[in-house]
Amino acid sequence: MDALGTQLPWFVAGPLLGLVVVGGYWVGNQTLGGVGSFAALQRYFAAPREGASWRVYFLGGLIVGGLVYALLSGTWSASFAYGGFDQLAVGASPWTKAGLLLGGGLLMGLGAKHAGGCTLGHGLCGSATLSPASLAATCVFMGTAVAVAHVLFFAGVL
Amino acid sequence: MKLFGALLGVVFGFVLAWAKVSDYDTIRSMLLLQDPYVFLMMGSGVATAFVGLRLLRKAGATTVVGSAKVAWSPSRIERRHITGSVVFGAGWALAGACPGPVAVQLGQGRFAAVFTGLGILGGVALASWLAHPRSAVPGVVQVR
Repeated sequence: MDALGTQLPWFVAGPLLGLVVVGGYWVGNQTLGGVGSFAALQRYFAAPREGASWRVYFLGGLIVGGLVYALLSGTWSASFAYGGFDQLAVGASPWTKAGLLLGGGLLMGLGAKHAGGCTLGHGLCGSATLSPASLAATCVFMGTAVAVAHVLFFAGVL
Repeated sequence: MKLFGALLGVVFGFVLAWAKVSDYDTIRSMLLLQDPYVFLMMGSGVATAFVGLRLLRKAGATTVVGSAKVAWSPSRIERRHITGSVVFGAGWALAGACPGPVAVQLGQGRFAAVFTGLGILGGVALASWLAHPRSAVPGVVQVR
């Protein structure tokens, strides 16, 4: 299916994601969370007897969604390749690559958990309800990510 | 809620993958302001959800689970929303994928995401521990 190999136009992808956000509320007045789902998984590892929150199932769904897409589009392949990252100076060595991804993940988990949400929780869900906290958080993390990316770019890292 | 959560996740993950949001290159060109795709996608997503949510509320819709009225309440800005987001944004620029797409990458067989994912798990654990040093890890005895 060649259509699957072509990037969805933004005006199709965006509204589809927006509909899923609406779905979260329609099902149970829930926001959907990226970091929130990882946090739910971590809570489950820390206290398995308390059971897994539905967000762990959402996380599983994300993984399955990626898997189904990759299988249907014939693009599934197990590898540690990471696109353009591998062409960067820091991407050449598997150690710096693993370290940077681990470190980047650590900052994302720490920061978003503290802030109560990430690009999904604040950026999509919270912004759609015009929650001041989410609008502020979204502006801050977007601005920071763009700024840091530029600093790294001009430093020759990115 | 678990089943619906899983289904919502599958659809969301599928769309993210098809939109190539789980591609490192997409995020890199987004953050370097070379390609407006992700901004346009997110903007139209927020707009769609905004309209959809208000339509649901206007129609007096009730939730599938629990049969409550579809509703939400705004949150006041607190310092953590700002400070946490700065840290998150920096991490995002490094990793080239935020938590949702990290999960999608795992499904696509892109196992570099294992490192990002482990980092996220460690980060949320650290955040919890910093907030509640004693209760975050049940069973750990504090040595005085």
